[in-house]
Amino acid sequence: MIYFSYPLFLSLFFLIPFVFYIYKKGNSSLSLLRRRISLILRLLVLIFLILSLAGMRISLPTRQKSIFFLLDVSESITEERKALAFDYLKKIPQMAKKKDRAGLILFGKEAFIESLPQENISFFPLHTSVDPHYTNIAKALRLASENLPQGGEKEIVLLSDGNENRGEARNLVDYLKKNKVRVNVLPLSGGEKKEALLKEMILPPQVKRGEKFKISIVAQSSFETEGILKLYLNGEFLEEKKVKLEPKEKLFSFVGKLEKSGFYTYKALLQVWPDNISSNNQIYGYTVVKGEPKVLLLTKNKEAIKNLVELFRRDGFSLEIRSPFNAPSSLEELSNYSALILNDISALWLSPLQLKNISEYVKELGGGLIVIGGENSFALGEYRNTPLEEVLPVYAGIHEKTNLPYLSLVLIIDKSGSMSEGGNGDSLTKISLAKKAAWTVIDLLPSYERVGILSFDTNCYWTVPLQLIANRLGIGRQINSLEANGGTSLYPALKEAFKELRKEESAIKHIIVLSDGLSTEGNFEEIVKEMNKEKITVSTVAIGEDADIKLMRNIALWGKGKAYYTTDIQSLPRIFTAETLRVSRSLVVNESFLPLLNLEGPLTSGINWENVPPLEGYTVTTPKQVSTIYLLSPRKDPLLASWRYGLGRVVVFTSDYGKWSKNWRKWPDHDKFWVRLLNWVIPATESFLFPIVSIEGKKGHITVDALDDKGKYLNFLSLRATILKPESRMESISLEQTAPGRYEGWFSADEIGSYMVSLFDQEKMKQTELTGTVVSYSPEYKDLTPDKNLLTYLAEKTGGKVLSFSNNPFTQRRFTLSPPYSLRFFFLDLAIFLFLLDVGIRVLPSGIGIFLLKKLTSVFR
Amino acid sequence: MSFLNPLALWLLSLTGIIILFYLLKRRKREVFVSSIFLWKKIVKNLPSPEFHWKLPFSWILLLQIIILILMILALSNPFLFRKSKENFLVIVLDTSASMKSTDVFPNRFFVAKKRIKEFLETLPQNTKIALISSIPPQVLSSFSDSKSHFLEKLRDLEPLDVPGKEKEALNLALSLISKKRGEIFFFTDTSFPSKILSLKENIELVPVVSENPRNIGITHFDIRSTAGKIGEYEILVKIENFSLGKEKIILRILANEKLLHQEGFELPASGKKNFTYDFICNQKIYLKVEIKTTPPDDFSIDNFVGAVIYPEQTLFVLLVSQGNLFLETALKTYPQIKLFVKNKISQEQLPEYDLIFFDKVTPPFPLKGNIICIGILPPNLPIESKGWERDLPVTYVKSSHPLFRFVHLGEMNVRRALSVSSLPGAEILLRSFQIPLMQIWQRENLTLLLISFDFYESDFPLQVGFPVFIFNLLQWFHPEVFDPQYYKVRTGEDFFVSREGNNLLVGPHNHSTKLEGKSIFSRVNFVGPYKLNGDVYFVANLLNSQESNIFPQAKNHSLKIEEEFSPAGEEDKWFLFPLLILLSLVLLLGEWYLYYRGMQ
Repeated sequence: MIYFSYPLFLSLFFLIPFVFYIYKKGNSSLSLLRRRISLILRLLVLIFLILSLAGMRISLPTRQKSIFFLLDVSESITEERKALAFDYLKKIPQMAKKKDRAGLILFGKEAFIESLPQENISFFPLHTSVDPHYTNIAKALRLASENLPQGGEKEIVLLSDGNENRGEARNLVDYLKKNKVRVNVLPLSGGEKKEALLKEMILPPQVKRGEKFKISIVAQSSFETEGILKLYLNGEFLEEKKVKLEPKEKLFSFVGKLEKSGFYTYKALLQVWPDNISSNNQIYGYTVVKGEPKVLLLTKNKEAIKNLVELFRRDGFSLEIRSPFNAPSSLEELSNYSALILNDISALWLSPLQLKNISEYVKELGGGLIVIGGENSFALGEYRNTPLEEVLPVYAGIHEKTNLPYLSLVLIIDKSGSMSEGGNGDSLTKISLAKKAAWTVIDLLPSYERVGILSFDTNCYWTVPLQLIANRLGIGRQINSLEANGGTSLYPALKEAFKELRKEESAIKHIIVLSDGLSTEGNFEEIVKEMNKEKITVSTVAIGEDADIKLMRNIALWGKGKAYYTTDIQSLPRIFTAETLRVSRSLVVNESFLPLLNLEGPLTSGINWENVPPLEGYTVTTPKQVSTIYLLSPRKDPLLASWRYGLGRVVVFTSDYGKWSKNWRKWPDHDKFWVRLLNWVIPATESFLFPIVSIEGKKGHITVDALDDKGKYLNFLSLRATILKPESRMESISLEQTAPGRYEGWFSADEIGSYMVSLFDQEKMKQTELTGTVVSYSPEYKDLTPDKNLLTYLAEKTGGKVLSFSNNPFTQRRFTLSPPYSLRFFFLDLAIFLFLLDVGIRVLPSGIGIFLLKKLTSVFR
Repeated sequence: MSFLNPLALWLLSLTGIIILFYLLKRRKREVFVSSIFLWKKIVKNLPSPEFHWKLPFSWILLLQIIILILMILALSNPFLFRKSKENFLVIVLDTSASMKSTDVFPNRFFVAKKRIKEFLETLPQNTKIALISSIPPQVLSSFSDSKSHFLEKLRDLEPLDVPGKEKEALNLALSLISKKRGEIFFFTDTSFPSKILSLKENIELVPVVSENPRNIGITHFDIRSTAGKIGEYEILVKIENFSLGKEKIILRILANEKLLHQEGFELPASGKKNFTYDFICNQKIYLKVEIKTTPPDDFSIDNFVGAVIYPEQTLFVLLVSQGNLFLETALKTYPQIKLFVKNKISQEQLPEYDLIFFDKVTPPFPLKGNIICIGILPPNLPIESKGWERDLPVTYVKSSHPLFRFVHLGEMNVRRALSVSSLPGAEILLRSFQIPLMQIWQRENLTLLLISFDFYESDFPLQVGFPVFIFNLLQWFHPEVFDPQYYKVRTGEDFFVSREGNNLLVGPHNHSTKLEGKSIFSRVNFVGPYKLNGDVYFVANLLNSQESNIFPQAKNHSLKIEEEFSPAGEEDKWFLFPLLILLSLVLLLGEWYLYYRGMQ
């Protein structure tokens, strides 16, 4: 084939007639023969120069070959086979003929050119490094095909075991044929070290409760051996059996039976020796058991909760009771339950991880949570600032952000002269210890509480007027100014304290009176009872032998407080501390009251609240902004609250199921009330989704078809999938609708193990389906034998052959067209030569040959 | 001056040969001849050649020497370094669908072409320009300082309804200037992924886009037939508002130009909305979904999607069997299938059927078409059989294959199956240890699914997934019958025309193509219906959210792209070869003329 780089110059052929014209019209002394020869020569010179100028190129038939060697360096190729392949490649320069070209590509997960096809063949040393954990033959073939040089025969020699796990080499066949590239294959197989592996675990994706099912495990070994096959369920050992392995696939079976609903992961582990690769000795599978919801109840006192347990079981719930010290330690384990009940559980009994798991369980897995109060719960149970408090619709205890202070406390301190004495010969005086006690109270209380210190002798003085404790420094200075002198007149102080306290809006108003002596007269009973009516309580501390113990006790009695008596002045700070704690941590309300219905709703409707029996106490909490408060205490504290947290629902009952609610046992609506709570938190399940979860590379793909019972597509669902991955990691994704009734989403799946997928309808807040998938070890470790099918297919379809290490790939040849050669300078050479001839023909005389010969012979003679 | 082949300069010594020729040239002398009868005697008695030491001056000699020198110089391939006075410019013009937007009048493409023409006017004379289109990414005009040629190519260029390949086009432009000093100007509306924009200094981005274009487009369109119901379909359409403000939209659904449904709604800025609509049809329909806004938005290509649905297509299926109730029942479920049951068939009858099941009946040889063999081996196949094996558990399922979608076969029991090898190059779908239970083998004119067990010797037909498997199988072999999406493609994709015979395919802009037999049509460049022999055959849609987002992605004038080549900032080489040869030609003619004019 002939080509021209600058075909425009061919138009110079118009000069040819001009040459003829000059020849015809001109005259010369040359003979006719010489003239004609000269003309021909001149024409040829011109033609060759024009062709040279036009850049004529020619492709000739050739038997030149260009071969790209594709070497599979993935993990599935043993070192021995790689070594054989290297030896073979080292011989290629000797096998190739002159002008043959060879190049090398290394491939695994990706393909890289080690050297482009060239005549000067030299592959070693190798410089390229390739990810060997996968095999992508398609990429290598495409790369080779795109980089084989033009002209000559184009071939690929594929050195591989054919076990591709990325890409589809079959799909490239048409492309290779179109580009006239032949693929010869040289299978790399054999020489494998002793290897045993587990290939598949087959079990049904879904089974019924109590139904027996088969768990089949396919194992293979490259040699005859024995081993132990162990089976684990959700990480716990189940059983094992001795197995005999052979160089062919063998099937081993276990029988499974699951009694409770949930998602179960099975792991099979093969122990055998010797064994080259260990990562392919374990394999995972999963199954889902559908059934009625399971509930986990954590309680320390099973006896106290017995009635509730029986109630729930009677109602058809599958209930499991555990001590908090035996609570599930993993999210995976927790995920097997539809609801979790915490009965009077302290956060200190659970680890930080368990607390976090509870939060994730509700938020991401849609689990239900009921928290029942008691003296170990909420603030008393140190829920504050834990993940558990985050989940609840209430703050544990009093939340700082409330506008109203909870406690207004007035310390009425006797500063009469006797308070300047020490006790029992101590150097410390009563007044100094009283001051210390006051400081202790100030330090103890949170800054949002209010305190005042009223000191009295004959008169009374606000040493520290009622104010927020936030100003501790100022208060401290004011306390320091207390000095003892004067008489003892308690009544005016009480009156003054009452006057100020009644103005306070705090939930708790309390007075602590400290005196060491007899007071002047006053109608203490009346004033203290008046205080009581205004919900002001009074406690008293009598110190010393001279104290009016009887009066102090009566005041405490009338004031519904506590009376303390001590002769040891050192105990003053301690007494004040205890009394302050007793009052301020009314975090627990121990009194009989009737719950107030705040809201008719799913938890309270249909219940006759007018006849509800009283409760005897509750733990104090503060509602969160968006929570729903159904029942309140007379103090307006939440009694029954709920909300949605993430995908799950939470209910809080701040009384208990024990001494405080003992009256409720006989309440006709008792059962209805408790079952209602549990039903509300448990996510209802509806099966109208048909999910498929597949793993594509390192990504998981969820495709869900949604149909109703009539087969109609369900559209515009707001579906969410939560994927619980190995090591309890979680990912939550929204599924996008991609077709009528079809929703899709992707998640990352780069760890080996099982992946549990929960599907939720976000609008209905219902868990709709549970399914999963497994990720096994790298497929590089799965095949012990080469995929000759694929290799044969590639060779046959492209006109190639199956080679062996003894074959020379350069022997088989056929004619093809070479790359175009430029004839530019060849024509120029010819033109020069012919020009000289032309000049010679015209210039040299006849007989010149004989003349030159004579001259030469004479020279040699 | 430098020489690529300096050794050739040694040939300059050949000038000595010419000189030698002239030194040996017979000197002419005047001889008076009294009679021409004596001429021959005189010629006979001419003196013999002799060597003359004195070289006479001759213009022809001079010319001949110069010619020889020029040719030898040309042979030595001399070149000069020079500071290039030429500028190399590559103009890349975005020809993707979004360039049809009308936010600039009359549309972005027209304005881009106009700007290019204006730009050309400002270029210096010695500028060499090349033209590249972004879709397909190709060089339309290579470097030339002929503006008329460039403008002619530019004039003929029109945008396609296809998403652009900006990165490939820019890479192509870079490769053109890799060994030259040059610049690239990319005239585009910048509606492509911003990750293409990584910086390189010699690419200039020339945006042709307004500040606030409006577009509402259909970015997703899917059709499914209602499960278990023939002739009932449901579509999903996703509409996105790419404008900055709220838009009022009217959606219309038409079948064969007849209005089926219309509704109006509002979409906020950046809002999306999904619509579904179900309908029944028992004959071929050309389904269209279109949206309109008032005023019309700036990009109309994505306001329309369509598909052709052929519910009435018939598949001729033959079951060659002594009787297989499971298969017959499963196949009769589909009204599209015209089922024939025979107990044998000849090779000549094979082409009459679209799909043939050989259920334990030996097929004829050679096999052609779409064949499923169950429990029987076709004759003369490169496959070994070792007889029957019993109680084969399933140890491998290629669950990613479309045949097994929603089908779980791990629990299937196979009581008896043929112990066969794999066909060479076959795709194994189901295996019991090393025995392929299901494999697919494709050769020219033959697609074979070989199931090596008898259905009656397994619980396969009793599996919940069996009817689903049959459906998957039918859809895999004949998607044109069972997949309502088959006759709907995206612009830029290929379409497989499965009609035999000579066909004329006419596209939306009346571009026609002759097709012979079944073939792949790869020029689906425009949105709209494509007619085969006068009937709407399939519909091409844009359905590309990236292309529909006609909002400018970049306002910067400088555009950068990942560097693949680094152009050498080198001086130009000016090869003197053509000049020297041309001079030689001229002088050769001159020498020839002088010689024959007698100036010897």
